Amino acid sequence: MTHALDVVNLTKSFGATRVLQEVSLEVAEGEFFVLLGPSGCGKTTLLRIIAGLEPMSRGDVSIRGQRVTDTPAEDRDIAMVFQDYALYPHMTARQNLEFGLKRRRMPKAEIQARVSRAAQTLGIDQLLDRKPRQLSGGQQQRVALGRAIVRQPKLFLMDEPLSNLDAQVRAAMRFELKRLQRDLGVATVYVTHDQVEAMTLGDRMAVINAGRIEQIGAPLDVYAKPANLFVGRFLGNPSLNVFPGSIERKSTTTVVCTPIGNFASGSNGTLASATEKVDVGVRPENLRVTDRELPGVPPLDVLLVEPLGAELLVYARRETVDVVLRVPVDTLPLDAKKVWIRSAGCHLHLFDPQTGQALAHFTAVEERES
Amino acid sequence: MKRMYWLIGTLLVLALLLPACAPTAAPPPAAQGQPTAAPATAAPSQPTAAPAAGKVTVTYWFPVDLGGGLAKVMDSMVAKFNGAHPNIEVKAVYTGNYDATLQKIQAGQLAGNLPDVAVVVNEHTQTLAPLGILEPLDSFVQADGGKKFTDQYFPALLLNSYLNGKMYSLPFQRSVPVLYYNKDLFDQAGISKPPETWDEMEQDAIKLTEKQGGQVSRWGIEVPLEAYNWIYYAFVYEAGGKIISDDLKTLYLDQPPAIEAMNYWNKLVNTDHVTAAYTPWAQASQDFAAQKTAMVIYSSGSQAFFRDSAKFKWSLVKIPQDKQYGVAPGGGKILMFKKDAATEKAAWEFMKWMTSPEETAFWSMNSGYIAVQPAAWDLPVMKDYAKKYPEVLVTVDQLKNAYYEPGAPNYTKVRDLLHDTTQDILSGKISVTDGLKKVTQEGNKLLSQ
Amino acid sequence: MGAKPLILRALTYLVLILALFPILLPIYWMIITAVKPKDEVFTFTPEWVPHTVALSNFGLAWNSAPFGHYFINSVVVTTGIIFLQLVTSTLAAYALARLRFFGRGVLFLIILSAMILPIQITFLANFVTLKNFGWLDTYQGLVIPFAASAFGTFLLRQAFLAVPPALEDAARLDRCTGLSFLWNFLVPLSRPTLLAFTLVALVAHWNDYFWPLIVTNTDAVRTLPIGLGMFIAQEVTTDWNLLMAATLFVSAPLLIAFFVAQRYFISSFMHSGLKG
Repeated sequence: MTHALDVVNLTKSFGATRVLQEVSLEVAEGEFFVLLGPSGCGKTTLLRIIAGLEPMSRGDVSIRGQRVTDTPAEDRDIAMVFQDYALYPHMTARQNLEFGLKRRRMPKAEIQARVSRAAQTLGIDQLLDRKPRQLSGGQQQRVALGRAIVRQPKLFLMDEPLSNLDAQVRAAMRFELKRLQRDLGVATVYVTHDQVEAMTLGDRMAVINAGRIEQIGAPLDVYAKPANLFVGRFLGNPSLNVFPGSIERKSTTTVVCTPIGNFASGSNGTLASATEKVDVGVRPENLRVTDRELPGVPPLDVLLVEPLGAELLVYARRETVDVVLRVPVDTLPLDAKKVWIRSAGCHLHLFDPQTGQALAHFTAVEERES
Repeated sequence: MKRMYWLIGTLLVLALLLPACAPTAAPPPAAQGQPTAAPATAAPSQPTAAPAAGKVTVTYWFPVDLGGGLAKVMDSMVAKFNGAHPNIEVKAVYTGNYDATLQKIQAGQLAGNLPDVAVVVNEHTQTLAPLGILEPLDSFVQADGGKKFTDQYFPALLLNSYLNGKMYSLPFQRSVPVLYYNKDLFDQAGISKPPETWDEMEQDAIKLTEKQGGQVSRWGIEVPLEAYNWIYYAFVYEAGGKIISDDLKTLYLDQPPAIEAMNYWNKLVNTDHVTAAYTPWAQASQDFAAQKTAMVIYSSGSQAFFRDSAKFKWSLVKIPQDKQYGVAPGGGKILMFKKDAATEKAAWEFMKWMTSPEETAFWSMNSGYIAVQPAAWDLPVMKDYAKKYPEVLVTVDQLKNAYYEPGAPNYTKVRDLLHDTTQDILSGKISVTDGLKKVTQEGNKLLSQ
Repeated sequence: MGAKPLILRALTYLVLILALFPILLPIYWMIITAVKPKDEVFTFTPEWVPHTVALSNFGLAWNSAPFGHYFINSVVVTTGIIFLQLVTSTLAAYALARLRFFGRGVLFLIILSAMILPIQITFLANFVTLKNFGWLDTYQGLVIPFAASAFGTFLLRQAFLAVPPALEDAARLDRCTGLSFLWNFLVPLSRPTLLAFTLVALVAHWNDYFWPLIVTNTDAVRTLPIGLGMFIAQEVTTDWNLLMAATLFVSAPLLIAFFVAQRYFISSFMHSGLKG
């Protein structure tokens, strides 16, 4: 089966600086694919290269199996939604939708049909005779989407299309966007720096950092098994707790010793490849905690407890190590002064302190004396 | 891709321009013909564009320096000439004012596009002659009787026609500065007759100056300052002095008469307070018409204007004398450019005709300029004219006391320097003697360049 | 409640009317001078209302020069210049603002410096060129030297640069690139600039006196300002009433053009706002 999009070994340099390095990815037909990364990581450049709006230094881009590396943007049959919409300010919403179709010399009846269908889908049929500046941000967003939809392209490219909206509209639009994409079934490449958008919208995503793809996968997989420290830290809010640890191999079990306690792995083999020193990462919701003293476990000083409703955010400290925990609301009293980590059931990620690459992901068990 | 659009854009611009350029590919020889077509006319076998074979075309550039309507008068004179001369076709071209005409001539020199005859302001004879583009008139004058020919003109008006012993121009539209005075205001002030001396002019001006609350509401006299320093020259000549040596190399502006002349003017401004330190030329005549000044020293050419504009009785006299009467006649002269013999011959006919008694009288009555030949004043029409407006005879009388209006190669810069320095002196920025010394020193340097 | 905005509004209008005064006063003075007989033009105290209305001034002024002919010439020449300037400036500005090519920065600097040159510096060279083309005393001679405008190019380049690059990307995906992007986007989006430039050029070339005087010799191609020039005298006093009468009918087309253009002008400014 051919992919909607193939990017192979794409490199882009500006003089000596490499903006993108050996990027390869494929997007299946109908797939919603997210490019996620911090600003300046090269994700927008990657999208513009796919669109044909910017030249690449090396590599290949294919759409539906057809190599388009040397095809100008206007002939790639893709549609793009821009961050600030780039609506044509001197044209009405209708003219904005029609323009690309007219330029492709489509019959009038067909244009009419497509525009009214898209307008209905997006709920902008009442707004078609307004100019962009007479529309609210959310309405402009819909017109921009409409302009892409009517084209019925092989591929949608979206460059942070929701970033200019306020939070409430953004959440609503996110939902609609996802539904729309599913209904249309057109493969979509979506650029964002917002992990929530990436997690909620993407069938799969690529996390990009400094011009390289760090990890590609389904959002939950990436979240659960970050390939390296960067991905682990970039996903999740509050962010991954990271502190130094050391490995202690015992006869039946291996223990990871950390400033906030020791975590035992169920079997010996899990951590076989681990070095003596590791970076331990643990997500706030993956730590289990109690306000009752546990023997042999160092206590943490509670700095602040933030009730979020169903959950509490607990900011705690042990010597120089800060830890954030997210726990069910009935776990602790709000005025708890000290807490102890129950190691059993905590989910941990171990990273190589040198390379940052993930070494293992495991859930700690009750430590038994041998 | 982008480069291609750039190319298309460039081609588009070219495409737009080319249709306009196209006709030029063919006619350059014809178009360049303007100066060279003339020799063709010398040979009768080669007819030119003109209807009659062998007709000589004379291009004539004239400025209009005396208000609207005069261009039409000029056209009618040219038409009359053409009617009377079947073999000559004069094409008259209005060329703005004197300065614009000079610019057009200078541009024409570079482009090889000079007229055959032009009217220029007095001192421009000495500006243009050194460029070698003017045809000396001596041989034509000789052929027409030599001294007998030149004697037809007021001698005073020929003073500026020469450079280095060669004659380059004939007087055409000439004028002198005179003193206009408001008779009604003189009567009110109990002054029975116009001033005849500098002292009388000063005393009258003091009597005629009116003040309201410390502010002057009416000047006794206005002495406007214009680009050609015309009135100052008159003062210097009246004080018995000269502006420039006969060889046009040395200025006499640091000599006692020149200093006396400036002292007198300065006294009117800064001691008597009967005239403003600076009155622009154009304003003075308007002030006189609006009775904002009781007297004004102004061009004799303005009589028609005052006749139309002034709602009071006025008259004019020669500028009152110091040691003697004296003026430097100004205005315009007619001259000819170096061309082929046939064109020059036709041009000479035209110049003679334009300055002949009948025509100079006609131009004088229509414009207010002085008719340049004494014979013109003996014509019946002119006698009637003088009877109707007796004051015009004052200007003719003034010609008896006429001197050279300074003009020399490079003199334009000296002229401007003197003008600016006069302004500085009258506004108290520099003393009379220092100012005139400066003009003389720097001016002499300019003249020797 | 209602009174305060009313006072504020009245004040606003008062200020506006006061600001209008120095603009309207010369125009009023021109009109009344144009209808005054000669002996009422100069009076000891200014006369704000003419005693007698001498409409004959207009006839006299009109007949002092072939103004009918000059009028047609002015229209032809000014229209030709403005059309060519709009075309060349738009294309040049597009290249400077949107295309990348070798020497673009230097080229722009050269154009900028051309803006500083007064005509008095270039006129001799232009004059000689025209002479060699055989264009003296022709419409081409009046129009072609002004076919390009450094000022217009500069102005439009700035306007084109203000159009967001994303718009060009979006248009490209809609198959609108190059000159059709220029025509469909840059030109309509820069309408206020184009209009402003047109008006400035209109005034400059409608009123141009120096160049037409130098390069033309016949009434067949001479323009209105030359007719006006005939009223201005250096040595003796200008006939102000005739000059003002002539000025009135020479400037009337411009005043009308501005009057018509202003509504369009304002509305095109209001509607040109780009997002962001």
